[in-house]
Order: sequence, then structure tokens, then C-alpha cells
Amino acid sequence: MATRPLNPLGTLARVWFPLCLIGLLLLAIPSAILLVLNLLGRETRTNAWLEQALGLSYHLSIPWWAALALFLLPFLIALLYFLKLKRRPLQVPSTFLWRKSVEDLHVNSLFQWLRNNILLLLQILIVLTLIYAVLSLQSHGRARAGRHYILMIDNSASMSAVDVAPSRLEQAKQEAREEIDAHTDDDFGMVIVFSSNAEIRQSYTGDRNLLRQAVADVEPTHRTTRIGEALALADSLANPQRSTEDVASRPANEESGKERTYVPAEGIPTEVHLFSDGRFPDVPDFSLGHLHLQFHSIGQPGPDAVGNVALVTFNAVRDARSPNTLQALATIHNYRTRKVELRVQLDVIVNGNLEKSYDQPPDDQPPLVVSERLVPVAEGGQDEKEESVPQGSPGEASVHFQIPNLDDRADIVLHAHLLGVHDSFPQDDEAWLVAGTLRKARVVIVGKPNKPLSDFFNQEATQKLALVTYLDPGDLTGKQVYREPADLVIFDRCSPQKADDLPLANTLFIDAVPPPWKKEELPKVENPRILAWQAKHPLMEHLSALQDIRVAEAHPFNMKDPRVPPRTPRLLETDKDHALLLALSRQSYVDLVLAFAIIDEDGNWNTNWTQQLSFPVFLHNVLFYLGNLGDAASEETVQPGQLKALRPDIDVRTLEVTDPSGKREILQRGTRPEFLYGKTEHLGVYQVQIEGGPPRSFAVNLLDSDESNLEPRPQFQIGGSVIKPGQEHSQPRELWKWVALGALLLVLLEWVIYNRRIFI
Amino acid sequence: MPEIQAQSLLEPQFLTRLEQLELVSRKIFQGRMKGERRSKKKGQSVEFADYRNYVVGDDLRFLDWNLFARLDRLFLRLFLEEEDLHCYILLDNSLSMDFGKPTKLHYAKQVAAALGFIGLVNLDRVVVEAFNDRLTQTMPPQRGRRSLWRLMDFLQKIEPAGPSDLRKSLRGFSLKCSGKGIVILLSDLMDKGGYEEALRYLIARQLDIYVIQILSQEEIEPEIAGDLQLLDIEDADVAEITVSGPLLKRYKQNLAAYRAALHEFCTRRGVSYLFTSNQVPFERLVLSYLRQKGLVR
Repeated sequence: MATRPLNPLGTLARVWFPLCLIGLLLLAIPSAILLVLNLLGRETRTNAWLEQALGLSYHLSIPWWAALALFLLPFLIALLYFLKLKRRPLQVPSTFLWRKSVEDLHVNSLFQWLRNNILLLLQILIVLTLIYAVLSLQSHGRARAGRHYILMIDNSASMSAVDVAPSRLEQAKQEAREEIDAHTDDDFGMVIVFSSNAEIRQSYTGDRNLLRQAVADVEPTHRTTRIGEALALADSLANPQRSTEDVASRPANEESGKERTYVPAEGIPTEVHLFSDGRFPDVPDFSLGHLHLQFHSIGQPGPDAVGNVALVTFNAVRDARSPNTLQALATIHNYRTRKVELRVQLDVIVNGNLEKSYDQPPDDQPPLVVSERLVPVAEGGQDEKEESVPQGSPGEASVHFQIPNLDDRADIVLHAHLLGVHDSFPQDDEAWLVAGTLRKARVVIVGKPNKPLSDFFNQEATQKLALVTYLDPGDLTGKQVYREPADLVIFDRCSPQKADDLPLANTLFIDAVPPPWKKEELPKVENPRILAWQAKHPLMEHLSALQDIRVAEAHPFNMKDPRVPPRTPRLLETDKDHALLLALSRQSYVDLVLAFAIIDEDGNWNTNWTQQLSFPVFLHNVLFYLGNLGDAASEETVQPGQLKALRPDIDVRTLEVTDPSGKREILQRGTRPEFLYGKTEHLGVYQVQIEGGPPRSFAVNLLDSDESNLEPRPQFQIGGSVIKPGQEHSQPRELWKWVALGALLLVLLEWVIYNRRIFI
Repeated sequence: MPEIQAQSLLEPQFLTRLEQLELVSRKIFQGRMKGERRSKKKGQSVEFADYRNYVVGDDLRFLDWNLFARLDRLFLRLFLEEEDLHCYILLDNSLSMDFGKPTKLHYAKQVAAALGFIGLVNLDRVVVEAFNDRLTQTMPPQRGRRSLWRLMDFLQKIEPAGPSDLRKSLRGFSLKCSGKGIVILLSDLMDKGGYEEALRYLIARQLDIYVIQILSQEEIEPEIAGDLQLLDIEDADVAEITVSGPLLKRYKQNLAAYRAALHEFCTRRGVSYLFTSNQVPFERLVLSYLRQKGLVR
């Protein structure tokens, strides 16, 4: 007896629809269980289990009755479909041919058979997706509202490197955007941009569009990287400082047992997402507290990926024997792991015109070979290697240029740039230097003859730098001669009577005090010992062995005197909080007070300081710092973003600064002795036009080996924590929007299919 | 459709054009009265047909005396007799004919009126039979122009009713009809019982058969959409369909196949088949298509 062969396609055609229907109904079972558990109040326990087992969580985003109605909808649709309530009756002369056609299609076409039912499947699927959408499924964590997170984006110079396409900063912005997408609208985000300083671009908000816009607006800078300020900004909310509010507001006569309960301000746990290459100094004295720092390392990791050669120093000095000759010195660092051949070109630009170019080495000689960067190889196993921090030392080379026959008073700019270097960070391949113009400080010395002092100012080297005028103390009454423009006025054992009589200049008081102080009010101390000094102050640079200074008699300042402004520098300190040398601020000027005489009224030595090397050095510092003298060899170079202090003559009221892009800004004299210019964002030469004076220039250079070293740091230290990149963290990613989007697409698909069936 | 029924079936101008036509039979049929047509039957006319031997009892007036003189034998002269033509018009008035705009029934009535008028003016014997699942109404044989009003009156009174049963109706007609002549069947032929057996009854009667299938435009090119429950107007049969491009395509293919099968069936058996839509002007059908088919000339 022959058996009929099975037709798998035919079998599939028969069971396809019921199988799909059963599958969809099975798909509805988890949602039903979740819904029932929610209605029974077991949401929390269920979420705990789901998060542990599947990394998912849920919560009903609509009222329970609406969810119940939605849940019943697929069953209703199936019921309606099978009851065929939707068919429209239509009278026809005969169903003869129609019935035959329908039968033909059912028998012959699998697809047509399916299409008759596919709308039902789609409708049930749409409702199912909507059900799962309102269950608000989240992955990797529990649904939790109001979390705080901070996006800290590094836009320093090294982030302009193009070792990752299109640039490190763009990659950081992209990752920041992804981080924003990973949070919900219930979370509060903040955007902080940092380089040499930090700025809050967007304060805490739940509006993620604002955060995205703030991230999109981040522009690269040429600045160096310091993370401390950014951490301080982030710290303010997460770790509030202890306040004295409790004590201040607690009533004095509080009854025992009825004290108010004071709740101290609690910090808010905050995720900090740091998007940086990690090229900033460690911050060992910072406590993260509630800040949970997550480091997103930007850039190609590993020493082999670094492709950069940089100019890291560029200096010039005047030849001691020939002031018209400049000696320029440039240092090149090679951060690559292979040798680099290059030349350095130096352009000499005099008064805006290129006068001469020097190549080092010259064209007829082989190029300069800069050795490769040495990367330390960690010893031991793999784990140990991960712990070590491969800093390495870059290959280094120096070039020296001698530029003769330069005009002292001309505006001279030196521009050095590397030739033959094709690296991923071109900003550090060039540097500028402005040769300083010689200018003399105008110094007025008021007092009786003082040989050590006059010896210093009368020597030939000082004469080149200062124009000294001597006045008798008697001249202080009546004629106020020192009111002529001066940079520095030295009062030796004398002082003006009133504060109004003080000159509009920096001053040095020797064994005298500026009014309204009175010398008689100060204690007289014999043989005071110098116990400490501030070596970092510009006035104390290069001073040493100050403890050997012996003083016969002094009138030290009591630094605890309330008239002494807080944070007044104690340049020379004796015991018991008494200062022998201090710098008092007066408007924009500095009154430097030396509390002991060099020679007393009788012409006897009061100190042995004059016999020590530090004395002329101190006077030299006074002349340069208080006399507004720059380095004669070169104008001080600043890094991008740093304040540039311009010290023109005392009578100059306005300055005009033109940046390398041609943008001009007029500066008005404020209360400080110098003009401060802060818009040093561009690398290059800034022109300064002084009213009634010759033009000056200054240069802004990167010259930072930390920025030029493009290798992302594998780890860094903040406080006691070592931060490493790539530490994944659990955070909820809301899935329901994607599910809802799927439902929308299904609706569109159903619409398309329905229309294909209707519009023939 | 009251407004359509109120219209006269034939316009006067059209009648004058129809007067010039006559029904053509591909076979020569016997009639009961002397008409304007030759008959196979020998009789009294002017057209000589044949000779035969005289037998006792023959009419002596038809003896050929000249032959008797020459041959000394008696021969009788036979003449072709001219007779009238039987023209049967079978009109389907089932409910399915009450469909379309104008209705298929109205269209069929117009065709029947035109052909009936041609028959009447040519002194043919015109019989109209209406049927659905049986013969419902019969117009007795009419002859001559004066019977036109009776024909029109009969046609006007035919109303759509009942389901159709082509086999039963034509079987009844073939049993009832004794004469020979032209049969014109006006129907949509959408009979779930089939048309083959029904037509065989007519063919067996050796009638000159013309089948005119009339369908409405809605049946030829359906303009429907959506999920529908189709109700058969005659037997209340329900067919649930979801209209789709493939379904409509399949329907049209089935309709074309049905027409082709009907056409082939008719052609094989010497039956003339003509398909028409209710959108074809019936004047053109009569004056052009039926003339091409050879029913009128």
C-alpha cells in the first residue's frame, strides 16, 4: 500500500500561522507575570532578582489599570479576528467565480495564505511591544531617578592630536554623547571643560539636549592640562564642606533634652566621567569622596602609537661680550619609538619683516638625528606590567643658533620650526621668541648717602639698566619731586609724612615704614635671627644662605597685627611671627619694607648682609621686579591661556593688543601696576601698541613636554586612588524607547501591508 | 431601477433602422404559416424544386402534362414552399440579472425587443420566454408589425425574481417547444450548476442557437477593496474574501477562462456565442456585433 509523501512546505504552510500565534502568546507570558507581580506589590523583589540574573529591571510607567487593559488587548484582537467582525458585507450577482478564486489562492499560494493572517500577527506584536515598552525595561541596573553625573572633557592642546580620527577631542565628545544617551532624563548631568583652568559649560540639568549641546560646543584649545580646578568644581556638590551653620544657628540657651536636630549636609554620590588622555599632573592632595571617577582614555594607547616630535624649549640670551648678538637655543624631544631625522629652521623677523633664515644643521650637512624614546620594559609577570607606569624618556636633541648684528631697539621675533617632521600634533612643531628691547628703569633714591646702595646703582652694569636720581630727605617736604614718573622709589631711613604723599610707584623702604605706619610703634629688636624666607617669591630668587645675615638692630613687623593685610608675603622672617622683610600691597603698587637699616644714622654698618653675595642679587631682583624691567634678552613667553603681564611706563593709560589672528583689544590701566592680558588662546606672536611708545611683542608657545607626549596615560593618581581607564560600570540603559520605536515600525509595516492590500 | 424601467426599450429612430434588418437562420426551418422564407418542405410556391412519380391521391393540378406528352408517364412537379421563421427569445430574469447600471436584465430586454421587432416586421413567428429556475412567463407566438406593442408590453412586465437554474429552464423549453427555428439565449450564464447540460437540450432540438452572455461592468472589472463578506444575491451564499491584487488577478483569470470555455463549448457544437458588457451600447450590439455574428443582416 503506497503512502503519500510528506510535503514539508505544505506542512509549514498549514502550521505557520498557529505556530506564530502560539509564539506570540508565549511572548506575552513574561509580561503578564511581571504585570501580576507588580500588581501584587512584588516589584522590588522581582527587580532585585532580574538585575542579578539578567541585568534587567522594570517598572510600570502607566497606571496599573491601563497596563491591565493593554495586556488584555492582544487577546481581544485575536478574538475579533477569529470572530471576523470586521468584514463588510457586499451583495454580488454570484459568488461563483469569487469562491473559485479564493480557493485557487489558498491552494496554490503559500504567501497569499500567510498574508491573510499576517495583519493579526502584526497587530498582536505591536501590542506586545507596547506592553514591554510600558514595562520600562532597563538593562544593567535598577530604575532609579535623580542620579548625578558629570562629564569632564579635556580640551587641552594634546586633545587636538589626530592620532584617532578625526581628533581626540571629537572622539571624547562622541563618547560623552554616548554617556549622555546611556543616562535617563531623570538623571542630572553637568558638563565641565578643563584645560589649564576649568569651566562649567552646563550646570546640573535633566535636559539631555542641553547637555548634548554643551558637549557639541566644546572647542579645542592650545592650553596645558590641569585637572585640579575641574575636580574642585565637581567636588562642590558631591562633597559639601562642613559648615558652622549648626553652631551658628543653635540657640545659646538651649534646653537640655529639647535640642533641635541638625542634619549635616550630605554629599550627593556623583559619577564623574573623565574624557582625557590623562596628560596632567597627579593630584595627590584631593579626596574624591562621593565622586566616582571613571576614566575614558582617549587616544591610541601604547608607546608605539605615539607619533610626535616637539620643540619643548626655546630660549635666547644676549652675548655677554656683544649685546647685539643673540644666542638662541632650542630643545627637541622625540616621543616616537624610532629615530627621527630633522632640521630646525629659525626665521629672524625684524619689525615685521623676515630678515634672515637659519637652518640647523645647514642644508649641506646631514640632518639632525634625534634618538628614539626609551620605553622602560616592566620586569616580572603580566600583572606586574600592568601596575607599572611606563613614563619613558623621550629622545632629546638641542640646536644652537647665533644671530649677530641685531638692533637693540628693534622689534625682533625669532620663529623656530621643525622641518621634515610629519606627526599627529603639529602645534608643538614651532615656537616663537620675542627678543627683549633694552629699557631703563627710572629709580629715585631718597635718603642720606648710603654707600652700599649707591655702589650697586653706580656700577656700570646697573647704569645700563637704571636711570637713578638721588634726592635728599628734605626734599620730601614741599616739593614732591618723586611725583615725576618713576618705576621705583627707595626711601632710605626716611618716609613721607602722609599716605597721600606716597609716590605712584613701587617703593622700597629701608629702616622706614610707609605711612600710616609709624616706625616708633614697631618694637625694637636687637640681633634678630633670620629663621625663614620665601625662596619662591620673585624678589627672593637666587638668594641663598640668608640665615647668615646678622643684623644689629631692627624694627620687625608683627605679622599678627590686624593692620597687616592677610597673606602678606613674609620674605624674611624672624621668630615670633615677626617679619624683617615684607611686601605690602598698595593699590597696584608694592611697598617693600626692609625692617632694618643697612647703615645707621652714624654711618655704621647695621648688618653684614652687604658683605654677602645675596645682597647685590637682592637689589638686582628689586630693580627688575619693582623697577618693571623685563629680561633684556627676551620677552617673557607665556603658555596659552596664561595671563600675560605687560609693564609699560607708569604714565601709559591704554594698550592695544593684536593677537595672531588679527583681533585687536584695547586694555585700560586698572589698579595694578601692570596691564593683564588674558586672551592668550592662540599660539604665535601678539603685537602690543603702546600709546606714544615703540611697539612691543610677546609670544605664546605651547612648549610643554606633557602636552607633547601624546601617549595616553594608563593610569593616574587622584588623592589615594589610582584611576585606570576601561572600568565598566553598571548603569541602567533604558530599553523601552527602543521597544516603542519597534512598535512604531511595526505599525508602519502594518500600514504598508494594509495599503498594499487595499489600493490595488 | 425605476427610471430605467420607465424608459421605452426602443427609441423610434432606432426602430426605423431595425426595419431594414432581418433575422438570418443558417438552417431552413419549417413554419406553420406561409411566410417569406423558403422551407425544406415542398409546397406551393413559384420556385421549382423537383419531380416525383405520381401516386394515387396526388393533386392533379401539379401534374406535368408536358412530360406526360413526351414520356407517357405521370410526374408530379414539386415546388419549394415559403414559410415563416420561429424565433425564440429566452430571457433570463433571475435575481442575478438585476445587477449593474443599467441592469443586465434591462439590457437583455432591450436586445430582446430589438431582435423581436426585427422578427415581427419580417413576419417571423416571435416567441419570448422568461426563465429563472424554470420558465416563468411566455409570450405567445406573435407575427407582424402590429404585435410590437404586445412584445413591448410583455418585456416591460418581466421583473427580476428567483434563483436561476439554466438546466431545468432549458430542459423545460426544449420539451415545450415543438417547432424549429432560431433560439436566442440572453443570460449572464453564471449558474453554479453549469451551462453544458442546459445547452445540450437546445442543441438536441437542432435549433439555430445564439448565446448572448451579458455581464455587468462590476463583474468584469470589480472595484472593491478590504475585507469583505460577499453575499450571493440569488442563493444567499456567503464568500469571505480579503481583496488583494493577486485575488483580483485570479478572479479575472477565472472569468476569462470561464468565457473561453463557454466559447469553445459553443463553437464546437455550432452554437454562436457573443459576450457583451452592459456598458456596450445595445444599438451597437445589434447593428454591429450581431450583424458580424450573422444573426441579422
